[in-house]
Amino acid sequence: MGSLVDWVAPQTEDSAARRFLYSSVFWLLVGVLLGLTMVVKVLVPDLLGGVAWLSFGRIRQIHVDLGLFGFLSAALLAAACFVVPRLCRAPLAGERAANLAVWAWNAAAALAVITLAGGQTRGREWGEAVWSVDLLRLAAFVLLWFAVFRTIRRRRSPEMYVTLWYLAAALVWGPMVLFFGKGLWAPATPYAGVVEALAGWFTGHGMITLWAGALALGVAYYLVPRLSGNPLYSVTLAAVGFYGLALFGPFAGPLPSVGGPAPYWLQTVAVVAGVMLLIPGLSAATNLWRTLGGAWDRVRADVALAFAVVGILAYLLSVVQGALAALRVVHNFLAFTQWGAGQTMLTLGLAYGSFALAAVYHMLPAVTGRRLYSERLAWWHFWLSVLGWVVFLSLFWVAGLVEGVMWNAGATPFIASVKATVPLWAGRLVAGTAIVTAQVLFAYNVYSTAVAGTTVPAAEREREAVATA
Amino acid sequence: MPQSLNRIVVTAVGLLVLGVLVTLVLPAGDEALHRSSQEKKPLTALEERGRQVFLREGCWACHTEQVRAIEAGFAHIRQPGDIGAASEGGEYAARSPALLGARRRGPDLTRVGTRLSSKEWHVRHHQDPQAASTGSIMQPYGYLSQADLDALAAYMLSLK
Repeated sequence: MGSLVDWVAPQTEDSAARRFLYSSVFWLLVGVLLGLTMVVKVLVPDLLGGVAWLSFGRIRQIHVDLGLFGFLSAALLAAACFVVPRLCRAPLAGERAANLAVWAWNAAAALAVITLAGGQTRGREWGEAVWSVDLLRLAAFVLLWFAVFRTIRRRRSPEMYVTLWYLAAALVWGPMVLFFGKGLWAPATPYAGVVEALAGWFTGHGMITLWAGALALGVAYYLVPRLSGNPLYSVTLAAVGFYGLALFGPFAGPLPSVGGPAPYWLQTVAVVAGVMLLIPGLSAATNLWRTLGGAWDRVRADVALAFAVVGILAYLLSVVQGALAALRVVHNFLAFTQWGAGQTMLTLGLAYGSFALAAVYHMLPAVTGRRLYSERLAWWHFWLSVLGWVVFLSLFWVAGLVEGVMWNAGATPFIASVKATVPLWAGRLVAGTAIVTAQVLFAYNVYSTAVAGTTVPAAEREREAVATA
Repeated sequence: MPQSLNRIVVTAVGLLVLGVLVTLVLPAGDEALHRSSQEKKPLTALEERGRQVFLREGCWACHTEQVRAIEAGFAHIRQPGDIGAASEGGEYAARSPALLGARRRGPDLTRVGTRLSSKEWHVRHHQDPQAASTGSIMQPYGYLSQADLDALAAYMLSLK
């Protein structure tokens, strides 16, 4: 009996981080393969046309859910379970609870795939999954509170480092955004009409900015000083960024409502908050960049740091684009075009995703006790991913601009804009294949490290252990 | 500098609750959300079934159901201006989920029933989009039952 409990919810150090990490790699593969399937289906609409659960509308929802929750959140939660004990110089107070959270998180992802494939949906982007999935996720959040908050309270480090502010806030915001945004006190959405749409946009913006965004920045604030060997550039600037996010983030939700049937004053609130998010965004990007300093020799030698650098640059671009797109005149031009999909994938995929991958590479030797199986594969992963993403996203932005021009001229039928942008989908097939190939190499490298990597010597392991961090 | 977990949690909770109040609770009472210049008929059982098909298949991911003021009577789908009049809050009053949508990989459908009024056209379009609309990137929904196809077409015709 005892051994079963120890298998389900082990007490051993870093076990939750390791399991979250493996889970994230699995869901990443499923998520990107579905994404590529979507591109193929646009180019060849008849392909798999007879299979209901592989229809474009359904797999798009699974792709979105797995990208945000299955991959990104799980990888960043692995990082949270890894960095919190090290920053607190105390073992994770609830390693067993965190391991149960891993089970709940994966059960939620699997259930989301099954229900969405079966056509059960809430009908809103970033909030597709049904009630049962959300309840599992809330359960995971409660277990993580138990593990993370108790560890922070029992910390032996004198100060509370920036990373802990962001991680603690994210663990508050994630479940609260889900709860209020999706109205989880009722099995079906309790909202109706335009307010239901507003609640949907509140959920989407909240989960991207206040949940994934806060988690990713928290992890970045740990990784960049640690990997570059430089102290944090400015704690004051970090505090400006943190409080700025807390102050403006909760009010930018209604941005997609601009120009539509929502009250005008509310649209203005969202525009102001959306522009003001420049302050926390630029503070964090500047702070991380100055912390990196000129440590380029380290970047060249460490794939984790290279991913973090890409993360900083992508984050900076996403912050600037996000604030510009919040302005009414820009929003009116770009609304509903493919620009929006490009912006979201820049933020979640290339910015936060790169921080998550950086964390995975950094944690891997410590949580598996083995050296990375292949440095060469890791660099192939890096270059194929980054170049693939740059081309992939650029094609979305070009398509968005073309659509914006054609729609706002009002002189051609809608189908003309579809025909004009279809060739760009072919380019996405190439770039998307590069991205997917890169993630397959990555998954193979992680798997091989776990089963066949050379053992890290005891002296080296000691250096990365919680007690000495 | 925040050096206390309690202070961080209280700040995070407090500002988020304020965000909920301002962006979800306050708008619920706004008269703009109840304004509607045309009488909206409630959906028939068949149209409602069609709406459920629309929801289930994820159609809303590529088709908006909202006409913004700046494009009302102007945006061009098949004929100049046929996107129709601007959406008003009251038009969505009883709808849950509201399905306003955020992307247009395909055209807006708020008033599709005014420009395409043939049930047969919609059924054929859903079974074979490219045959009905050359150059379409929509996948065929031939796997839908005849009853679902009829319901979906009825829902399309109800959108005016």
